[in-house]
Amino acid sequence: MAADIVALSAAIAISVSAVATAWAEKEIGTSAIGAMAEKEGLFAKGLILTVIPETIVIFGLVVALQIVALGG
Amino acid sequence: MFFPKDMSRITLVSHRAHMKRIIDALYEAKVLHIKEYIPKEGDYYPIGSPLGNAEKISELLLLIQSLKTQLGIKGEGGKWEHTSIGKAERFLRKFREDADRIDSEIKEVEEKLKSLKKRYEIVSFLREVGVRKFSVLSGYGTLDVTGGYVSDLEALKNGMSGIDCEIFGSDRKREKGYPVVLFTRKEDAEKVREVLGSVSFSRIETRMEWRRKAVEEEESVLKNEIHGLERRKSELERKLRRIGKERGAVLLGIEKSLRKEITKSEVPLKFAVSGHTFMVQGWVPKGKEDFLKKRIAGITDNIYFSVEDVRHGEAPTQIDNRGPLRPFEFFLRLYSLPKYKEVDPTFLLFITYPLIFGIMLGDIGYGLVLFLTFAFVKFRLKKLRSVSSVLMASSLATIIFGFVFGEFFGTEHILWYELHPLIHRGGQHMNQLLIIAISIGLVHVNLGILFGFINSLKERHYRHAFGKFSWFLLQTGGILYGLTLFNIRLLDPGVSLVILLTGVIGLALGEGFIGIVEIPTLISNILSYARIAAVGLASVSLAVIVNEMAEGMFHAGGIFLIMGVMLLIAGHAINTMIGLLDSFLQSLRLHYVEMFSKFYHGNGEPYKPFGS
Repeated sequence: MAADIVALSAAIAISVSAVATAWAEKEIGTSAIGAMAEKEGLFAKGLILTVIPETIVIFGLVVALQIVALGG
Repeated sequence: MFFPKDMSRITLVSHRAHMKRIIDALYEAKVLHIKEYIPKEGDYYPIGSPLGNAEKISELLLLIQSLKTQLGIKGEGGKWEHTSIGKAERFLRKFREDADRIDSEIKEVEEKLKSLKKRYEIVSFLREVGVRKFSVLSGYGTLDVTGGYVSDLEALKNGMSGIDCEIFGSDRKREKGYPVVLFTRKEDAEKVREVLGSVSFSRIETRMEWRRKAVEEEESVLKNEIHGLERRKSELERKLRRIGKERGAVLLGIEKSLRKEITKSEVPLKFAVSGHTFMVQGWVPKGKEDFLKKRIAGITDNIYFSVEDVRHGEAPTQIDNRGPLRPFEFFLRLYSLPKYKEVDPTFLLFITYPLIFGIMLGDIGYGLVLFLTFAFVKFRLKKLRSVSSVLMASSLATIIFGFVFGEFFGTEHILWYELHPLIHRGGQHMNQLLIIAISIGLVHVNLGILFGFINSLKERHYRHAFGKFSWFLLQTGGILYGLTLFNIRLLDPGVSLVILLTGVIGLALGEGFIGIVEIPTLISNILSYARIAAVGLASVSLAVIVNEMAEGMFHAGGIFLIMGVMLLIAGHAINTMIGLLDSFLQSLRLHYVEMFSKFYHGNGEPYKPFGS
């Protein structure tokens, strides 16, 4: 029973943060591509800006790992 | 290496009679970055006007552009021996004449082909239907001849059953329908029209001037004519391409030389002029002032040439790095160049970028693959040289950390050799790795603050410098106090609190209220470095999974052996690519966002001397 809850909480931690990241990057990515259509040279900047929200899911991963470690 | 090159500001004034020769000398010297003179409201002196030949050169450049488009000439120019603009013009005009002549001939041929093909279509139609002689189609007093396509031959025959007619048709259905020719009485025209309407009739006009009497003869004559014309057309097109190739190189050479001339002719637009004099202002790197002066001195004595130090930080940026550091300038060009006089972070990027990349990817096998790939790319694609060098250095770091983490394509042994990892990623050392990652963050961010401190000192913004320094106080106090909560008493908790508060106050004084608001930002920035530990983890897990699946397949034997090998290759290839992309971007992002935001102003104007 305990193991189930541990697994579930870890899963929730990572999946919710993944959805958040995906949502954020979707918005930014769309604008980046729009900007690129006007000016090809913006590819590098656009790519970097798009990936900035990656932090969110990484923190989610860290939390999930900690939960698993804690849950034993 | 630590700062962009020092510059001196140059002011040059002389008589307009010498302007052309001075422009030539400046161009050949290739060291002066000209500051454009932009007169504002109330400024007395206007900008200069282009030299005499500017208009003609622009015209010729336009002509070259249109020739390039017309003949599809591409590429960079070679050398054009210095000849006059007159000669260039003659060459270009003849080129244009010849090209236009062939072009119009081609168009003529195309027109003819079009009309011949139309007639050929009609003649084929007649042959399909079974009409042998053209005379059959006309000259009747009481009969109508109608030719065309119908959608349904049977329906037509049924429809016409009550009407007196002769139907010549073919049961081979074409694109447009069944070809038919109808012979009907003129008085039945109405009824015929009705029937034709019901079978979607589309008409073909057959009444034309035909040269032969028999249909088949005409058809073969037309066919030959069409072939002949098509051959002629390709011949002409080949000829056009050939002169394009022959004269293309010369054309590009002329273009290059003309562009050079027009840069020179148009530069007076950046000068300030009076009735008889003109003024040029700009910057040269320190040390080149005498070189420039010597070049100009030969022309005339009537030149005012002054050299000053750059006072208020406005000068172009020329970053100055040696050998192995140079490829890392790529990151600055991607983002923006440092402002004049601020710290040039290339030397730090050289160390920390591969380091962070290596920890994130940390696999001997992937490191080797990437190293070889980018060595290859660097050799082949000249344009991607800098990035390739950067990634080669990063791959080396990856290999080193691969040994530290004990990973070779996700496994802990290279074929027979057992790896002894110092740190087990994803295993028991996960937390240690997190702490290491955050410590790297602490150091990295503080290096950024240090650079900010140095920049403020250089700019003599002592208040800001004090603010930056307060960050250090704040962090020291904060960490010391935090440690006491874990019962590590390095300093009396009271003292550490005082240090902490001094830091906060210093921050408020130095950077205002915004400084206080940025304290949580600092914590978030440092924590952001936790990704160093996390990014590699996913790639390790994926590698392990791929390996286990492949192992399962190997045990099954038979066809699964081959599938296992393919899975291994495909899985690790994908993992390498994801790992490369992720590590590249995240390491870069850590530098750009977390570190640069602590000190970098950027938006420096690149040093582009007149003449390069």
